[in-house]
Amino acid sequence: MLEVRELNVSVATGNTQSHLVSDVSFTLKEDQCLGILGESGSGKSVSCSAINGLLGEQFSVSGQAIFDGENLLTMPSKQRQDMRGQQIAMIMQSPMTAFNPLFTIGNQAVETIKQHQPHSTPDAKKLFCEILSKVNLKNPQYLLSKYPHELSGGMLQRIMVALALVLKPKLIIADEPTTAIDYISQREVINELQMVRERFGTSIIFVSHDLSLVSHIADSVLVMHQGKMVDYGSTQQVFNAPSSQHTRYLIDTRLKLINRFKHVMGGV
Amino acid sequence: MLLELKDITKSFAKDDSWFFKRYQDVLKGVSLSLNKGECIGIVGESGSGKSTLGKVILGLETQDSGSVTFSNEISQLPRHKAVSVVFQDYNTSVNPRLNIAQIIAEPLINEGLEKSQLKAQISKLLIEVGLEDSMRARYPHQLSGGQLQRVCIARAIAANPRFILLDEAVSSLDVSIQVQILDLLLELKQSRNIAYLFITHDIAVASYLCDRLMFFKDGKIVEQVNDIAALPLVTNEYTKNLLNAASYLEIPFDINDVDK
Repeated sequence: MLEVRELNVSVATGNTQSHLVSDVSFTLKEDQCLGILGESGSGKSVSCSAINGLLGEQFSVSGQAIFDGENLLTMPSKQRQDMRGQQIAMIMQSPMTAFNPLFTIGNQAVETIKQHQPHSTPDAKKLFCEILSKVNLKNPQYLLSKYPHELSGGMLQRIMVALALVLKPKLIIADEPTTAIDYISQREVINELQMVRERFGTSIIFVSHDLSLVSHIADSVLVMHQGKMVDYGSTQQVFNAPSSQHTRYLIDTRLKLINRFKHVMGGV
Repeated sequence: MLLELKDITKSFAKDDSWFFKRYQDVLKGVSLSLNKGECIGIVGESGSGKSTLGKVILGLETQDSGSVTFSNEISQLPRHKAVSVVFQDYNTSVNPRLNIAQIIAEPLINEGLEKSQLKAQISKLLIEVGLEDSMRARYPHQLSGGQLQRVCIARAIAANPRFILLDEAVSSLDVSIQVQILDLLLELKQSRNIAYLFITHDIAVASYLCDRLMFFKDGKIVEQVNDIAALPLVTNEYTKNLLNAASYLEIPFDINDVDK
């Protein structure tokens, strides 16, 4: 469904060009989940923004990203904007800054829906309420009347997932969706994404630096390091037989961090 | 005993009205005591009031009732010499217009250190936190997150405090860097005999570093685990839920562990 071939991104800083991403290629099939794993600065967010056309003019992007037979990277910007939200939705890292603090959740949801579909305001509200209850958020009417600061980060992130879903996109790009929230909310967001995949058949690109989360949700994993793709394959394969030193390092540090906790909890 | 908190309460005004004020209770009677060279983890979700507790201990907020008592050894000292702090957001906790040497020098100058000794002392601190001496002339934006957090730690230990408050000190870092910073903190705890109060939402990180854990919910300590081996035996509903959620930390299939 999405095929990315030799994606290159560079940015002009002063007189020099610095390469941010070089030669990233992957394919994503329908209702599959791809995890992109890497440390900060490894180029994982930039790759996603490039695919979604969210980079500014100072960036130069080359390569191909074929989505349903069309190359996203050469598409005119108007067509692309229609595609964003409708076909490809994005979930950002920080729910607190992704919403406009001056408007209620309902207001912002209606704005998003009306941008893409010819609904009246009450209809759009009704549609959004339905989605909210489908992702098991209680009392949707009450949530619609709230301003972003009145809700917790975890709650906002779940609303964001719902909002990404409302237009029934084929692909959701989740860029570190659980980094800014605590464990319990993290679990809820992950469950929600899992459910979305099962019920709506949406494909997901899940970007994270957290190896454990990726291992739970992804079918295949792409590991990035300093702008390069260092490992790519099915989740089991990458974690069991990593082909690069860097993947090994990521796995080892993760195991080290959880070992004491695991050891203690294993004593029951 | 290094620090003792007794029944700390704190509330903030919710919204100002002309006629009446409504208050939100953030801390509802928190008591704990911290021993010398010990590390206590305060584990709770966002909005549970754990950072406010930290601010009360630092003296950045005044409690409504209850007491913060330091041991005799350090109670005569000004608060900034007794307690030091490392915050979550390393970018905003350093002045972007000062270079690394100047950032670390500030508490040392406060201490009244001679200019001639300053340079050597800064080098010593940089090396102690695992940075190179050549970093001293750089500015915060030229450093990575992990390096900058090391600078913050160097600044925190500069005045030789007995106690450091770590408010989500590793939460903004990548997992692989978290381990490095936690190892550094463990090392410093050993070599300098510093006590930590480690505020975090991450149970795995807390159990990596801490001797005792306190679970914090809605402004209260709901459960206390004095021996980390007793962690699976928790009884509180919230704590159980939290430990369950942490099962996501594990990798759902066997992977070849080179160490084994």
